[in-house]
Amino acid sequence: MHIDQKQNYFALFGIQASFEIDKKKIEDNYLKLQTLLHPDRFATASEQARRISVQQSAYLNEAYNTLMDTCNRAAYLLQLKGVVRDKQATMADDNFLVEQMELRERLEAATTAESDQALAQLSSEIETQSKQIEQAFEQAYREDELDSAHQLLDKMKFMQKLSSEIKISCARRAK
Amino acid sequence: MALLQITDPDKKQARTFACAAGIDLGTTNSLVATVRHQTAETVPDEQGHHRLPSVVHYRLDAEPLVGYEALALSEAAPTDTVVSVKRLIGRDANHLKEAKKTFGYHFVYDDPKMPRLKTVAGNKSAVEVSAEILRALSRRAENALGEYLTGVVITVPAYFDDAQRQATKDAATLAGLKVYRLLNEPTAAAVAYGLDKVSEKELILVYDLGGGTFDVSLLKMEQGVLRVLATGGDTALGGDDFDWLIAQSLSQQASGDIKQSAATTRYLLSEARRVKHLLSEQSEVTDKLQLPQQTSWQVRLTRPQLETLIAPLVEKSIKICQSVLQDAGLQPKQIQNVVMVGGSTRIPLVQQKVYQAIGTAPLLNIDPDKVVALGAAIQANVLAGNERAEDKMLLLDVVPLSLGLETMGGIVEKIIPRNSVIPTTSVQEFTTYKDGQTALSLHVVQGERDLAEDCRSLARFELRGIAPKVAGAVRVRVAFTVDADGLLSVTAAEAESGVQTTIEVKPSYGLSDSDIESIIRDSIQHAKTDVSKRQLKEKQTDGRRVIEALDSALSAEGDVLLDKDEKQTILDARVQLERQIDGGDADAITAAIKELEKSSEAFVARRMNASIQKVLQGHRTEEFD
Repeated sequence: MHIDQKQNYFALFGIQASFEIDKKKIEDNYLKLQTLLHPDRFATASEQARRISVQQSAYLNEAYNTLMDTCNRAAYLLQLKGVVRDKQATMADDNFLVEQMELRERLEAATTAESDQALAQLSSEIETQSKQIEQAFEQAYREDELDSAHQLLDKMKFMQKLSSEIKISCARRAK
Repeated sequence: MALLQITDPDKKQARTFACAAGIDLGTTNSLVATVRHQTAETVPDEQGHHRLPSVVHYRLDAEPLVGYEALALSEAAPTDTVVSVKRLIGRDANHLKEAKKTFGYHFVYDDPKMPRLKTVAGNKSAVEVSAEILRALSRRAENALGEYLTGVVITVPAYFDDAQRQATKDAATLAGLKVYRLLNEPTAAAVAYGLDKVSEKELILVYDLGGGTFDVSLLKMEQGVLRVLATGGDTALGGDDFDWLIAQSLSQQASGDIKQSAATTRYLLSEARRVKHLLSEQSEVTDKLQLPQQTSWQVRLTRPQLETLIAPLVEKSIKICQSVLQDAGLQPKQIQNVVMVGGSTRIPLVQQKVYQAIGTAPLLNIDPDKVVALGAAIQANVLAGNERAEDKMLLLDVVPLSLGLETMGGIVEKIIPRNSVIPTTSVQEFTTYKDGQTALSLHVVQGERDLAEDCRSLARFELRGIAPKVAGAVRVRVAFTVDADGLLSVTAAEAESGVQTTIEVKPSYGLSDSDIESIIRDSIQHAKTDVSKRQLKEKQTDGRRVIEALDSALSAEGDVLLDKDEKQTILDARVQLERQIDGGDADAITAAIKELEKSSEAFVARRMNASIQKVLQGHRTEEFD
């Protein structure tokens, strides 16, 4: 009712829809809007006003989380272009899959060997590779090569999953 | 109606000052605090005690005793005296098996979701017991302020799940209190230290080591918004564990057996607690123990000995801090402030270990037992609208435990992951899997485990009345919303031929509204205070605040945002409300407030819109279509 929930997430934060984003600006506007819309601002208000505020504030959180996460942002951009993800689709790039398997084996080995050094090495390699994929996505999206962008998004998801598994592994080591 | 105040730049103090209080509903002790003369203070009772033991003693045909009087009777009348009710609230029969062993209560399980304790005054649920404590605290605050409370902020542990939060809120409703917000204890502590007032970006770690539990939260302060980034803890780590270790050591010195009898255990634990407190001040304590069938023994404990005993437990808490930091992807050196909460943080070793681990001297100047209540009072004052707009901070909390749905095979599918900022909504779409299917059943659980049976079951419900069609032809959209208090509500809508049927689903735990009503009705019959008089007074205050808010909104933007007719409709409703406030009928005032709110709905929406546009001003130029 107050935030137009049909306007896209980028417009909500006053920025253009693109893969490269100004995180600082999103952060600033997120905090400003949350300061206005959060239910705490309506603690003494009517039930109805409180309910609206909860919806608005939740919507704002969703928009923020979508844009601040690399994969979610990429998926959202494709969604705005009308690309619908086929759930049955599988990764077509065999080389990429083989690489993924190798990386996973290395992660397992490093975890078993309790080697902080191996984990750190792996983590930095994955970071570099992720950056390359993200750049490729950015370009594909900009040039409207949506099929290719879609495949790159799938790769980004693989990398993100792997990277979070490394983090978990590191956290376990610390304990 | 605060809605109308959102863009008020700086309306001095509201004329009708709202009396709000912060309540720390603790396991062992509870506190109530209010903001007076711009300072938060805990409110003492007539004898000067600030702490209220969280103990309720039930009597036949008389109002229950709460606090010190009840505590004095806890050994003589254990089944009629409820202690540590916070460990029971929002817990179902399964959880309470432990409590039964520890506290020796008689539970009645006629309702498995809501076990009751058998007392001389009838069967009492943990919600009812907690309501007695809240009632005692609110009376205390009202006596001190000479005014009825308009609303309260109640603190809960960050790890409290949905059922425990809901039950706490129900207890407040039972006690006749309006809850502005359930606030997480660590967040409240950070507010008490004024860390919400810092202008620069800052990271804060709150280390809360209480009697029975350990809780750590990582907060970020930025642009007037205090955000919870991550939480962690151990629900079975606290000062009680230290007491146990000390008691064991003392009893070994006296060649006694700590488990000889319940009385011996209790005696040794209380001696241990005394020794522990002394060792925070001095380096050595000698104590005379009087064990049964033994002559008295002289025992001695030094601070280094104590430290050796408790070091592994303190180390455990430090490890948890480190893993919370890791979860958030942060290094200890990035933390600017460490806030200490809970009596156990008085122990020098605890302070020292925290200092070493984080590299920042912990903040210690506010009493760690009072810090949570003080923060709650400050937040209550803000929420009641007593603060100027620019002094208002915002607290963003997170979901402490993931919410999920049980799927085929009892596997949990997470719909709202832990540490998500609240309020939050997750919309899931379901389709029918059988031809002619007219109902869909859902099971909502909370927890981090993969199997539904290992998580806390929050609600099971059926969506009925689905139009019978072939399998997969009907889609039902179910929205799971967690509000700012961390409470879940579920709305289901059938998306079919453009028609939406919305079904409000109430989770199946806690008290239903009619339960609460009937308990309130019962308690009114017994209560000494004149409830109806109180209600009228409250409604009159509400009404006046609504009018004030409206007036200031009208004078600010009334002529810009409203046409003549719209304004007149609102003014008519305003006159009506004024008349009812003078009339003296609480229900009529409520109705008049509703009427005024209804007539100003469009105005409210336009003001909100206008303020959002203002925030985004300056970005508009570069915006695409």
